[in-house]
Amino acid sequence: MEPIETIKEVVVQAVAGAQLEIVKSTPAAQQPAILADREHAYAVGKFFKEDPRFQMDFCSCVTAVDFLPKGDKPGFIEVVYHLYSVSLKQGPIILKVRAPREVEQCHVPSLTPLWRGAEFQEREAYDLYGVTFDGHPDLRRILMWDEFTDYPMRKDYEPPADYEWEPTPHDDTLQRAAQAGGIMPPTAREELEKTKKK
Amino acid sequence: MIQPLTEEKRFTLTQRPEGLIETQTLEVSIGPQHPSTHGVFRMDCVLDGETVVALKPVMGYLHRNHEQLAERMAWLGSMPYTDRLDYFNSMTNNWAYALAVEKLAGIKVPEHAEYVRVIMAELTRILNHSCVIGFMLQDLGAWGTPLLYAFREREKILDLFEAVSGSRMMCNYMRFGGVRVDMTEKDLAVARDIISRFPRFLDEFEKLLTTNEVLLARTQRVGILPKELAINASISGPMARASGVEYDIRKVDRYGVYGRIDFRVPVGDIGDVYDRYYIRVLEMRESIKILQQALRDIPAGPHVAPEVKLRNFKIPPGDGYGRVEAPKGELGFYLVSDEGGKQPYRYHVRPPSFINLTTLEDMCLGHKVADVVIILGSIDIVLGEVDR
Amino acid sequence: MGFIGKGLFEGMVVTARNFVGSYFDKERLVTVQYPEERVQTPENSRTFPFLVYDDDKDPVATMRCVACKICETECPPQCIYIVMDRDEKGKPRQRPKVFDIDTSVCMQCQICVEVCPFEAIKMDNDYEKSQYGRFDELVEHLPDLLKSNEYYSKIKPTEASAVDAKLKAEKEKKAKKAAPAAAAKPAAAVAPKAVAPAPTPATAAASAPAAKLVIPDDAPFSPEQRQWLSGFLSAVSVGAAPATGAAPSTPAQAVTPPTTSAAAPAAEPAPTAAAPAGNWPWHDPGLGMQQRLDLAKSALLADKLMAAMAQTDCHACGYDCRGYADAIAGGAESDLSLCLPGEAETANMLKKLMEEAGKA
Repeated sequence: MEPIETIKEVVVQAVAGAQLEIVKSTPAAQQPAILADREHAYAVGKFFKEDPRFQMDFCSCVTAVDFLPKGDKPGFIEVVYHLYSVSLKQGPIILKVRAPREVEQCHVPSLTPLWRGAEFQEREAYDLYGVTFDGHPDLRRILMWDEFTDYPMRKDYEPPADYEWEPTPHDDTLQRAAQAGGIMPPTAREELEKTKKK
Repeated sequence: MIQPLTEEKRFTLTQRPEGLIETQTLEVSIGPQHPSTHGVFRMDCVLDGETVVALKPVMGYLHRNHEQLAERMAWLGSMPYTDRLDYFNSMTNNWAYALAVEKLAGIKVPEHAEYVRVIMAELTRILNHSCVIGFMLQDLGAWGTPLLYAFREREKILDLFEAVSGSRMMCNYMRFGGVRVDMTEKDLAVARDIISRFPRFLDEFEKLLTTNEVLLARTQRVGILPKELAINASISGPMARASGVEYDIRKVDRYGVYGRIDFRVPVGDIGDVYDRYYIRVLEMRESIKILQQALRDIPAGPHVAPEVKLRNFKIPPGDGYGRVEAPKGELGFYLVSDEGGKQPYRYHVRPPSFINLTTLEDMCLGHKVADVVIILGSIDIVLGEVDR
Repeated sequence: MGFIGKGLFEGMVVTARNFVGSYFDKERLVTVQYPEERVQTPENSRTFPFLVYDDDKDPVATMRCVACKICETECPPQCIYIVMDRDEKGKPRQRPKVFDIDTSVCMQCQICVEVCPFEAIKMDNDYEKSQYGRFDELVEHLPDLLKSNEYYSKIKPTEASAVDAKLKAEKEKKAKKAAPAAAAKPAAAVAPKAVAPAPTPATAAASAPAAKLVIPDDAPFSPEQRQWLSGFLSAVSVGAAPATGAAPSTPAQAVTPPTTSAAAPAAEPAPTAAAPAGNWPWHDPGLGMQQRLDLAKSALLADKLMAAMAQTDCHACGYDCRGYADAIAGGAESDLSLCLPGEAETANMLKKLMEEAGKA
């Protein structure tokens, strides 16, 4: 595979108007990624799939990563695609697309029309992170039950405080079990009283 | 592309044109409590008589939130949880995770440890394939005979795993930079003994099954998966190779010491259930070859890279994807590390069973309900992996 | 030569062979009639953890666990709960008062065994542990968990003998280091820097490299800086507790300039074999925080930092106690909360000491 800068140049020439950036990884991993903007992500994906130099016909892994706002940098949710080529036995090409974290604005074009393998994985990203994939044929929850609200894998998700029994409670579990009125062994309750007194 | 079924479509699907009798379709839920769905897995089938006209898989009954658990533990702490992903093949799960972390952190694994890992992975492949054939035949209706023959061989390998790593199934054996404890000479001798007896068992197993008329009648031309659809739907592993896709990660990525070992990759042509069964038998034979070579060439040396710490292990910020050829397909781990580097910031498992289920509907259309069970059995899913 | 049903016929031949063969061939009859017969599990087999003690006459006093809480921190499902035993004045005794393992949560991963620096927790292989309740009955408390070293040697002979050999070697090393270090004090007073290698030849070869790192007299540092640097470099390069005992003992001992140190150290009696290694009087896990800080009144920041720690040399922080103190003082380590046995008390004291040092 050519170095990532060459690939980026090729794509910029082929797909009109695409704004791409290169995102580096650890030096050991040697897996830099191409960050595409939302409007052109589909065209970039299509180029990778159809161009005879690449022929990326196998979409191996689709996942979402949640980045919280840090200081004055806004947070974003990043959808990562790992593409491989079965015919030319090369890869991976890593494609990243970013969207704002607020649920109403978190829309990303779906690459399922290009790669059928992305179907279930995009549904999972929708279910667990709240990323809406425009153009997905069947976008509904897959791992959580249909009536579930909220998106569990986000970094700011608050799980419900239902505690039945905590015999070996630690740190924040101890605090939350106490608040929720969970049953605890006597020694744990003593320790909790001591920390409260301090 | 399969379109979602609207309410009206569902009920008007089967109007017979010359119809004296107007029939309705029946929506049946196969699972989640079912002896043949390989775990808690549900399929919503719409049936016309006995023929399947639509099928939607429903999963999530075993969702244990493994990915979020990993975010609150150190890197090593998720290793026992990876055992429980594909609970039949804990060694390859561990190896995939260790490989991803080693790629991200740039850790080099000693030779001896690489050979031990290959031995364990190929033994796991034999385990898994014999199990899956047993289960598939159980689903076909061969009540227990092939299943328990396969399990009899599996027991020998599980005893070896217990002697080496301490536990039969949840081995927790691989560490970053090597393996947890070394395989002694005694263990290697036991492994050689198992491998010397295995081809005889495999011959007997094949004699029982491969030319069996019932098996042939029920599995040939059932559940055909075309090659282009397999590639497009990201199908990997024996299921893809049965459809004619020549892609084996051991040959493509050449991770570990697979680059030095001489073995072939069997590839099918039609992609029906019989091909998926037979390719697993052939893969078991290739695994025996790999094991013989690995056991012959294993060098002496340390079993873990000495510079890797067990506690306070930090990885520089960045992300990386590492994958192995698990017995069920391509098992990959996508890890993101932030500053601090003591815990994963994002930990994602790319499970082969989950993605191999994408084409379940395409394969089942037009077949009978009984075939659905066999097709599901030939995909070889494990719910621990599908739901994580 | 195929007739209809040939495949079926061959299959039935195989089944018949297995059936008849099971009367003659052991390999074909694999069923073990449990519970009348049991399969002998291999030595390495593991189920749930237990704590090892050395002497049957007093299990609680001779248990190896010092409540350093490393296993509690590293346990993936957080099934261990430890509370350190303290005496009436609040001073920590180095053993747990409460040690609970919730066996319904424990996933038998053996990580607690791997990270324990004191060989205190080991895996049992008893698998018949069902109880009649789901909650209290499945939690194992300290009395249930304590089992003797004889029991450990019985279930895992090779592992137990390796552990015994390792503990014996460690004990001998500590004893050998304590004796020459006592003899080193008068000798060191006469010629502190040059004689630094002399106390160490009796001990393990590992200490010899430490001696080589002593900063020579003509290096452009003050005596205090020289002493601290020798200690720090030997700790960092060798990294093990026994080796660092000898070389830094001279800096800690001879705080005053070399010429005047002849009188004071020679008058001191040699410590007994049970005294802590080196010449750190505060390096006793039985002392309280204030007592330790009083004993470490010397001007060196590293000494005061070391006195603030729990003195167990448990390597929870990744170093031994001296090494951690030297790393903080030298700036190599910025995380002040790594001392697990010391808990918040140590972390707060370290923070206070560093702030004072920063201001000074």
